[in-house]
Amino acid sequence: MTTKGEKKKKEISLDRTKKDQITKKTTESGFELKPSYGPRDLQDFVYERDSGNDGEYPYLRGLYPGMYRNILWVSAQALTRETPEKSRMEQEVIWEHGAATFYFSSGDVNRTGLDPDHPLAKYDIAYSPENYSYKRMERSLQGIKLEEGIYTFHGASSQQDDVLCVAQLATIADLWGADKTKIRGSCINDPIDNMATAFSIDFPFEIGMRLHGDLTEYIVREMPTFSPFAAIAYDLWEAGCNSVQQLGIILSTLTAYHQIALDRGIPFEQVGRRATISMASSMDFFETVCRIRAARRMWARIAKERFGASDPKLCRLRIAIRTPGQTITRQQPLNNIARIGFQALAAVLGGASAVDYARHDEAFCIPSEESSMVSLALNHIIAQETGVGLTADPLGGSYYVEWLTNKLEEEANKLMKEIEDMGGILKVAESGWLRRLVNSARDERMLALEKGEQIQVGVNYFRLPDEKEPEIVEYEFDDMDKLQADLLEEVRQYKANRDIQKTRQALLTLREKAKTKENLMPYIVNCFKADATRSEILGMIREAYGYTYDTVDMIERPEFLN
Amino acid sequence: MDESKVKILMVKAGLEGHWAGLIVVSNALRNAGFEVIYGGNMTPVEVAATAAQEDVNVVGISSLTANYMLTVPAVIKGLKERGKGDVLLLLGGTIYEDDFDALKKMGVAGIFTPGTPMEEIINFVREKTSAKVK
Repeated sequence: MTTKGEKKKKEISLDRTKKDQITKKTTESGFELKPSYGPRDLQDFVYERDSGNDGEYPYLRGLYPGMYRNILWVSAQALTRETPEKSRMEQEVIWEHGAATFYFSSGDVNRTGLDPDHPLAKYDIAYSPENYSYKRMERSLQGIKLEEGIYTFHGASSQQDDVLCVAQLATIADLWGADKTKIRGSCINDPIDNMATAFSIDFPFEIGMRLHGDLTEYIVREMPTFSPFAAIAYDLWEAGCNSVQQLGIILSTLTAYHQIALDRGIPFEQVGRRATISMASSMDFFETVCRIRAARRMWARIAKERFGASDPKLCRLRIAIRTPGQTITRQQPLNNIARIGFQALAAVLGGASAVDYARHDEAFCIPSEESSMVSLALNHIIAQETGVGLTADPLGGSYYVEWLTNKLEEEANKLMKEIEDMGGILKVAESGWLRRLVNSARDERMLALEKGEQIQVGVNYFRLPDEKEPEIVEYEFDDMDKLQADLLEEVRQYKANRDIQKTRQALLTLREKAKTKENLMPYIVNCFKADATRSEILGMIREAYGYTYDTVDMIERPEFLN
Repeated sequence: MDESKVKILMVKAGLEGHWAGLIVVSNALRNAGFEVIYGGNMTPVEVAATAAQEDVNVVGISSLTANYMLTVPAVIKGLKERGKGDVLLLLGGTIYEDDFDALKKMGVAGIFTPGTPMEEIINFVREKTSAKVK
């Protein structure tokens, strides 16, 4: 029998056998690893064929000779604030601290293409600078020489958002008399990703694919220093897909988009030289390194063998890496700085062209200025203190790294073949196969976390029993009720004060043209110039295809368009 | 208790994307035996109307942006107007700690932030609904 005193006594065990073992024995893609790797694991590896030097086909070791010694990766940060002016102010702060791009991170209103005065949008307009008209975007660009910036449109899982953002930028360039051929930047423009992972309010795939082609063609013709599309695997990772699934899906997608461009009569040279993908790094360090290396080599081979690229330079795949928000924990948030650091280091060791940093406070709030500074500092520590950039592909030639790179490519090629046999990536996106694959990947990842098979320190491993909410400097919003009221009033005035006949004419022309095969981009630009809004533009295109005016069928077509 | 007698409506109030968490929690509650209606994106008025029409016991709102300080009061108002003020209201996502008190005063019964084990949410619902549903 125990007394009360004994009961209270905490049991201390010095048996370390369980805690000193690595819990997970497989990689993210489920490969069982051997304790060590050696030359026997690379018997078929031929350096000239399978690797080549840095800056040489098939670009396994990086796109340029010497890599970062000559061209440092671009450092970027997603950013959004309540108004165009506040976003711009924040943008300037991170520019001063070494971020390179002008990042347009769309909020929910932009993403869905609804105007702020839509009944479903009312509650979501107060925390991001929604560019319902080109004038809103113009406000965040005031005083900038457009040809000097690099613009990143990351249409948060919304390809129609990219289309409208580029159209708005082109509108502003035209009105300011800027040289569109010199405007640099990139967009995602990936409707297949929308089908695989997008949020619950979707856009018809057939319209998405048409606008994808129109945007590609428009950018190639009018803005040749801008990237027309980037197949994105970031969302796939966030949704639970492993490296093999990401590589298989994203390279199938990239291949399909280049084929579409070819079918539209655009020579491979004009699009291929900007081939870009965007991926997440993950906590699996070596899978991230090897996934990036494998993607580069896979694309180089596709560009040469399938598209017959004449110049090796046309086989170069630029890879933008974002450290994922999903690995950011609310528990012990300072741990996240280490996570972001490891993920970014893996990106750099894989030879990424750009790295976009998450912030350690993302599980609490919209990232604060302080957390942005920490993430930018991480970038500079990797670039300037660690010395990892002094020589190209420093992990190249490691038995394990080359074996894992080969393995990922081999397995991803199998998935690409499987997709091809089912009729291609467009077919499996439309049929729902892709969505089902992603959904089951999500369930599996959550189950692994719940069961503790996938460790998250502080969450399901050594979780602090009575963790206090830490002192996080949370981002403080302006008065949300006022922001909401001000924006609604602004939209009301914008709509009331425009030359309605001109707006009407531009929109009706767009609807007519949407029924033909003509490229819609110039007509969309004309609509913006005539003060049309995003909802109105998308509504006209939807109607031409026989859909309701409103994406969620809650409002009628505005009277002036009857 | 019989979980299948507890009806739960799971929604994102407003336009916000970020639906993965809502799906994951909805699945977990369904697997625990509750009857779950996945509402997706709805206006606060639609949330209240659906809750009344389906006569649910629990409404779960997910928010990973700052919209909850606008949507939650609107949902509560709608619920009260429809005589459903007694619904167990849950809020999950990136909720500012500074807002916890205000939200609880408004009538939010449970707030669940990232990293909460599913078991904790399931047990919370079980405990709070067991008195009402036997």
